[in-house]
Amino acid sequence: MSRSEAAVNEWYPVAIDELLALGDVQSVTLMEQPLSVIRRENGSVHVQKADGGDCPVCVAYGHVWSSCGKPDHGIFDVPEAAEPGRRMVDCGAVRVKASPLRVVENFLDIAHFPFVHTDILGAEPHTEVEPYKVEIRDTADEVWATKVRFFQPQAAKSADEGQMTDYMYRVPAPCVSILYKTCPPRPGAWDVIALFVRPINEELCDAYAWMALYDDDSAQSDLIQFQQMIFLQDRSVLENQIPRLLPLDPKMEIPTRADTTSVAYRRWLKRRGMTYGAQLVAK
Amino acid sequence: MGLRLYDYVLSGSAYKIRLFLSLLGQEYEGVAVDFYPGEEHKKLAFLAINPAGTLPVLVDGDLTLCDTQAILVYLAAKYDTTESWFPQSDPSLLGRIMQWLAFAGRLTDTVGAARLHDMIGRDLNVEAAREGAHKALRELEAHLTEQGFRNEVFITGKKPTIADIACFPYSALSPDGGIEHDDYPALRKWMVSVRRLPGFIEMPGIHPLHEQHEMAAV
Amino acid sequence: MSIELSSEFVWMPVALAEDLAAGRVMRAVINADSVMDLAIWRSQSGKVHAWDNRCPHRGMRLSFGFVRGERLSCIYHGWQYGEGGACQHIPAHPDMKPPASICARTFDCKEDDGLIWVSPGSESKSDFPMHGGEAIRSISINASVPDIRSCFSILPFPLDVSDNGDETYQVIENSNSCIIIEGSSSHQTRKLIGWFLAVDSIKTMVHLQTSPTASTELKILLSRWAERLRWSAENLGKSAVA
Repeated sequence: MSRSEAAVNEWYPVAIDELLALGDVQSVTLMEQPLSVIRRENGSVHVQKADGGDCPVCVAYGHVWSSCGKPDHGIFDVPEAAEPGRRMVDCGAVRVKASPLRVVENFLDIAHFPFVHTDILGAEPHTEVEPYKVEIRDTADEVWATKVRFFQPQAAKSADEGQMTDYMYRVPAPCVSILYKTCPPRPGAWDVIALFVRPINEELCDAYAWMALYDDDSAQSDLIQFQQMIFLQDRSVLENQIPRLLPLDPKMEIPTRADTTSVAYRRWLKRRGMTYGAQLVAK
Repeated sequence: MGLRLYDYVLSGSAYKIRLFLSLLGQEYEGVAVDFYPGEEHKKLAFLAINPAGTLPVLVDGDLTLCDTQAILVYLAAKYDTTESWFPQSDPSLLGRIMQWLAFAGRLTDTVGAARLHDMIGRDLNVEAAREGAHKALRELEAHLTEQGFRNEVFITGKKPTIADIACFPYSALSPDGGIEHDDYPALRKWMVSVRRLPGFIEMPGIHPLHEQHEMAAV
Repeated sequence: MSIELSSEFVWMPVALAEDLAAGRVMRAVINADSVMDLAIWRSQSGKVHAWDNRCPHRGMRLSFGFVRGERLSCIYHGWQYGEGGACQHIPAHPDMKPPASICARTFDCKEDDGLIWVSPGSESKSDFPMHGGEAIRSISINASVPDIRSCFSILPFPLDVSDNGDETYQVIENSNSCIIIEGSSSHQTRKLIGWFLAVDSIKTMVHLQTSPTASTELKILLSRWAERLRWSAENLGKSAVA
């Protein structure tokens, strides 16, 4: 599979469904191609290339999804989106001067919590990452990390003191990462926080955060701003990694056991031929 | 009823007020306004509070203030028991503080604009914004260089005033808008001094001074 | 005597020593054979270091990091690097001794004559002359070294807070790494020294020093002179129409 095919034939987020009003035309760039996202007066959504050609469209998980190519598969399934009692939150897109793959990889990482999300998601001296399980689930061809545990000083808006928090990570598509996290008000249930990334080019992207939470109390604006705060703390790190492309050559960057998810993600990208936003050979 | 701040977590201007309230040790009620993506500040409910549709807004009893620098002045005049953040007895100092409060508006207009462009894709002339930002930061750098010769750490003297609080956020956040600090050694020194003030708080884009963490722990 | 800035001249001035306090880290970009991105840091005990600005773990710029004691930590995952660039501690695995293969790339770095110097190459290092200057400031100028030199050599600088009017200026040295002008009046002589660091093809950092000792007022005047130097160099060739 060629470099372009694997990346081009994926679904990417191009707009927030709720913010695309009747009659709206929004301009976005997907993999260097200018697209128009249109909601006609009858409510239907269309995505067009500059030459007027239609792109595939799918509306799911609060977002409009499209592709510059022809995906041979439907969009990945997030079963939690259909669970009653969950509250869906669109957090908006944040632009990052980094490869979309670096942005996804950062989302899969917990070891940075004490240093980048200090006193919120992590805090010294609780820096240790215990062993966890990573697998590539062949039936769905997805990367999964489970049994991830990390000390969190402020587990949620409602949590006052620190506790060990459980996480699971799922990568259902190269530019998508879904995080499952202990839900303090509902023991045994998982909150879902997803990051959907649209490559503008190989070194620039828009990252949309979307959440499906069990939370009937918090104000919507508080939930959005908590997530934006976390992501913006990551942004200044992401914009200062060298190179901006994600290196797939194992010699380029040195992982440890805490990076098992990222190692699996990089291998999985390579196997799929998803090299848009990646650096194959060290320069 | 106490102080209420209509706030947005990513706004450098709102952060000015959060930072100053924290330095003063003043309690307040924060109300998160969904500036982005919800554009709640353009909707009727918020326009009833501030017809200009800007953030932050401070409400203290019957008083509503919508200008960031004016809020700093009000908070210092009313709640600073040390009378050091906005000393009104020295006309020269008062004049200089007001001059830098006005200057802070230029940082907002330039750095703030570049940041909106780079962070949330706001459609504007980012080259002009960055050029204006560098011009303003060069002026601040020249001033802070001279302050250094006088052994004065802060913008208007040896002690911090609201001039420092007004200028700090968009100076520190400029890399968010593609304006690096590499060219500004005096600015970097001053920013560290501000970050070391007791009661200092960060916002996304401004990392904690982790070297202090260990010192506190030891 | 002339020292040309090239890959053969290995010591490059990256900052005024007083602009990097103990326990701080900064970024320096230098245009040697290629553009190099460096993290320059000073340990708590005062020793300066110049490292490749890249954590071997995830490529994060180390200049965003933090200094504790004699170690520089990466902001991303807190990996600590010590003498020689060797990784000393990985917070995610606090009981593990990091393998020797995890090592930041280091460059020779020294502090001399009020400046921090970096040697980007590995060739034998020539020594350079000391001038015993007192620091004024580092100023970033969007102009090439030759353009700055041509303005520097013709823009009269103040020797004192109020000048006599009988000042004369003599170029002592003028190369792509350093320019020294000596000003004389009936009262005194004073040197102004500019060290050049080419950041890229259009940007230069000028580190300005003068003969000891200069009063606060004179330093302010010399700093303002540097602003005029920048204006002249950045507007060279543009002035006729304006």
